[in-house]
This record gives sequence, C-alpha cells and structure tokens, in this order.
Amino acid sequence: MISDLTLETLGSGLRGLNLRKSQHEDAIANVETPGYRARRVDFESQLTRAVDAGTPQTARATTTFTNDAPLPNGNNVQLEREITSLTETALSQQLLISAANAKYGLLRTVITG
Amino acid sequence: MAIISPVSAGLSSATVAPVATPTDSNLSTRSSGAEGFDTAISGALNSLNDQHLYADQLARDAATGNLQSIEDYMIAATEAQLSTQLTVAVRNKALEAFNEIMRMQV
Amino acid sequence: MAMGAMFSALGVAASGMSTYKVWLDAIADNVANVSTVRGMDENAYESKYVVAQSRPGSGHGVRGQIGRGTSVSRIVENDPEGILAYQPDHPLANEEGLVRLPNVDLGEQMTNMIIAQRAYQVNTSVFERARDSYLRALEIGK
Repeated sequence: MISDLTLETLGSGLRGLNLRKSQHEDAIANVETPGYRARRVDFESQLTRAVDAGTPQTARATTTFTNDAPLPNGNNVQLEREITSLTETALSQQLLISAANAKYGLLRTVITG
Repeated sequence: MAIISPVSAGLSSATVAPVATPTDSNLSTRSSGAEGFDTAISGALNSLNDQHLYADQLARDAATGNLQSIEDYMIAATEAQLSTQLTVAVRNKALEAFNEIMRMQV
Repeated sequence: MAMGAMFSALGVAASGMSTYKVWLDAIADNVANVSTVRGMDENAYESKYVVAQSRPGSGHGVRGQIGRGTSVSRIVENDPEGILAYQPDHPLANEEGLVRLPNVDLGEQMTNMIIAQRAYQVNTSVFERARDSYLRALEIGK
C-alpha cells in the first residue's frame, strides 16, 4: 500500500471538491425553487491544518448556508456565483487529478525503468 | 508520513555502480574521471529529489487552495517527470555499460 | 470561494455579470412601471438607479494591485414626487383630479438597457476565454 503525504492530500482535496461540486449543482438545479437556500462547502483551511499535522485524510469538510438575501419566495441562489464556483471546482478537480496521475506516473517510470 | 520520492524508491545509490568515496585511502589511485562521475551522479540525484519535493509541495498547495498559479505546478511537474526519465535512461545506460564490462574476457 | 486565487479571472468576470444583471433588472422594473399611476397621498413609482463600485484587490504585492471586479453598492430611488398629471377620471385621483406619474425617461432607460446588455455579454465572453485559458494551462506538459 503506497502511503504518501502528497497523494493523500490530493485525495482529501478531491473529496472536498466533489462535495462542493454537488452543492453547486444542487443550487443551480434549484434556482427557481421557493424557499431553497444555497450552501457553501469549506474544506481548504481544515485540509491545510491536517496536512501540517501529517494526516490529510482526517480533514473534514463543513457545509454552511450562505447568508445572501433571499427573494420574496425565499430562494437565495446567486446564479452567477454558483456557476463561477462550479467552473472553478471543475478546473480544480482536473488539476488535482492531473497531479495525482503525474505522481503515479513518476513512480511507474522509476519502477519499470 | 513518508513522501515517496522516486529517488529513494529506486534510484538511490544501490542502483549506481559503487565507487570508492573520495575520502578513501586509495584516492590517489583513482582517476579524476571516476571521481567526477560520482559527484556528478549524486549532484544530479539531489537536484532530481529537489524537483520532486518542489512539485509535491505545489501539488499539496493546489489541494489546500494555496497555489497562486497553476502554471507553476504544471511546469514543476513536467520538469520533474522529464528529469526522472532522463535519470532513469542514464541509469539504464550505466548498468548496460557496467554489465558489458563485467562480461569482458580478461 | 476558497479556490479564488488560482482561477481569479472567473470570479472577476462573474462579478461583472452579477452587477450588470442587477442593472438589467432595475431597468426592466423601471420600464415596466413607466405608466404606473399612484395617488397624491403616496410616493410616485421611483425610477431605480444602480450604483456600482469596484472591488479593490487584496493589496498584497504587485498582484494585489489588480482589483477583483465590481459589485452593487446600493440602489438609489430618485424622485418620490414624480410628475403630476391631471386625470380626474382616474380612480386614484384626488379632489383636484391629480395623480402622480413616474419620472422615468424611457429613452434613457432603453439606452441604458443596451449598455447593460452589452456589458453583461462582454463579461460572459471574458468568463469563457478565461476558463479556456485555464483549461489550456492544465494541458502543459501533457
């Protein structure tokens, strides 16, 4: 079992990003739903602390409601911001997956020679 | 928690043909070419290790949201990969040469 | 969101889109209410004016001097008096037959609408180009 700080950090980050992506997709799908309140997912600061402690897999994401003002029907989804964050999250996922692949690729290069 | 650097995984001194260190008493009998090769190899391995550690640090920064520009990471990762491939190729050639020499009839 | 530094151009373009969307909403509201009559005992429908402000950069280093887009600082309503009109047959007219009409200049609103729409579109263009640039950067070394 390969246990490596960087790979575990990337894995933990990808889990957080996945959760964030789900929240954004949910918010966008519910942009017209009365009473729907958007959530935001935070995990970067928790992950930073966990990495410094050497255990990135213990980082836990927290989900909180946004405090944007709601429309009269109770919906408070900010569409442009949700789309932006969804795009950023998707790009970040690509980056982290690319980083994990690069890491495995390096190990493969050395092992297979 | 270990950071697996491919340097320690497979390219460490075990895979480099052992040569006497410059502090040995037989220093005067070794050609300057062999000594230069030894320090060049360990210097290259250290630099390769540094490249891996740097790319690793940037990858962790990307995960924690502290990376300022993704180009920094992409370039560091590419350099680490190319350097690794080069080092592996050099190692393979060195082994080939070593085996060739060992096969020589004396 | 926390990933803002890496892909900051997206957030900046989105701030433009949000602000100009609010502007378009305000213009739509003004135009829809251009004929809204109110009685003398109330305020007239007041034309809404969106005030935008720029969002300054973080201030850290050279990169911090670049701002982070725009936001709506407040919405100003301009004229509670409105334009007095003599419409004695209107159900809301007072004893003198006067009602309040909104002080909305339709020509000005239509001009603003074209500006706001163009500004919104340009920002979506920036968003897409920035996203494509980031995607290309992710291909470096592949």
